[in-house]
Formats: sequence, C-alpha cells, structure tokens
Amino acid sequence: MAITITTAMPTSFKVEILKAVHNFTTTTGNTFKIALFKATAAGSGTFGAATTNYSDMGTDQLATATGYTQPGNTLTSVTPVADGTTAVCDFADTTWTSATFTTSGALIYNSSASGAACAVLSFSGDQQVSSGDFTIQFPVAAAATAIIRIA
Amino acid sequence: MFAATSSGDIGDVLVHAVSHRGFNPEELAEQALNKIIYVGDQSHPAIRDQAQAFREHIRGVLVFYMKRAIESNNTTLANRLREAGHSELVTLLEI
Repeated sequence: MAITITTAMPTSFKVEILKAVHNFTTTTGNTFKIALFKATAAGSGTFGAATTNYSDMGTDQLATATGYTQPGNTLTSVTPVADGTTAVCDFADTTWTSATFTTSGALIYNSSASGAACAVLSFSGDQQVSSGDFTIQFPVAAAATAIIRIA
Repeated sequence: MFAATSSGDIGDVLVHAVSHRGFNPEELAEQALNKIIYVGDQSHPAIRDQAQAFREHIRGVLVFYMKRAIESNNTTLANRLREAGHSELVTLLEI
C-alpha cells in the first residue's frame, strides 16, 4: 500500500463554512496549521475530499524528528477578501528549517475547531529535503489561483 | 423558484527545498516575485511582456538588497562574536 493524496477541498469543510465553524480573520480569527504527510511509500492512507479531520492523518503524518514537529506549522492567515465575485483566502508562506525528510503532501486544518480539515494538498510526488530549508509557498490570492476560494 | 450556484476550489502550492544549506538571495527573490507580480494566462501579450520586464527589474533590486542585508547582518554578528571573545569564529562568516 501507499499514501494516495488528491488536492481537494474537504466536503466537510464546505458544510462547516455554512455552519460558521471557520474564521480566517487575521489575528482575531482561528488558528490554522499545516501538517505534512510521509513519503508515498511510507504510509497507506487515502486523502482528499473525504478527509474530515487532522486526526485522519494518523500514522501517515511525518514523525517529530529532524526539523519537523507534530502537529505541524502554525499558519499566518490573511483576512479573506473578494476578487471580483470570488472570495479568496491566503496564508503567509511557511518554512521548516534545518530539516531532513521526504513528504508527499500536506493538510491544512483548523486547530481551533478540533482539527477540522480545510484543504488537502498533493505535492504530485515525493519532495525531499536534507539538512536544509523546506518552504511551502501559497499562490497569489486571486480568483483563479488562491489557496482556498469560493466562487 | 430561486437557485444559487457556487463552487469551492483549492489552489496549487509551490514547494521549494534546498539541501545542506538555506535559500540564497536569488532563490528567495524568485519566491518574492511570485507574490509581488502575477500575470494571468488570459493577459494581453503586450501587458505580459511589460510585466515580465518589470519582474526582471524587481528581481535585480531584491537580490541586491538581500545580499546587502546578509552582509549587514554578518557585520552585526561579527561584532557580537568579537565582543564575546570569539574573534576566530568571525572567519566563518566569510567577511
């Protein structure tokens, strides 16, 4: 078995938006984190639209070691805005320094809401870092590109 | 009867990784440019060319000042090392 990750907006997240579970407002909003999955061959779970919670990662999350610490990095959220008729979210880029690991994807979740999943990210294969820096750069917060967008 | 349609999407992240070192000014400038200047696929070619030229200009400015920031910080670190009695370590900063 291997880890299977599909970039997706969890269906549960869509429901939670309508229930006012998530608040992406800068500073006064919720705390969002990003956790990394293990290398493809190092796990066995399937992650995508059906992923509902951080706890779903289980043992498929990278272990705490060599530059990575569970439950992942805390993200700095940018207050959502509208670009045309699309609502967009953004986060500041996040970096793991002096890191050694191989990862195949990431999960953005709301740690203020019991770990509710917000976005599943596939890296389209394994990404490796050895005694170096590993950065996830979020796309431009525009209607066609933003990391989370509601059209 | 009313019906409202909507859709939710997740964007593509970029992953940057370097081994046995940190990012250098050129690599960080590229990351910064991805945030500063975005040209959509549907943009007019003339606009795209202009944006590309501006992007290259900004790249030079970013790299120059990031290198200056590193040199300046190294100066600060060198002084702290000397004040702490570790002058021999200053050579590691390549000043």
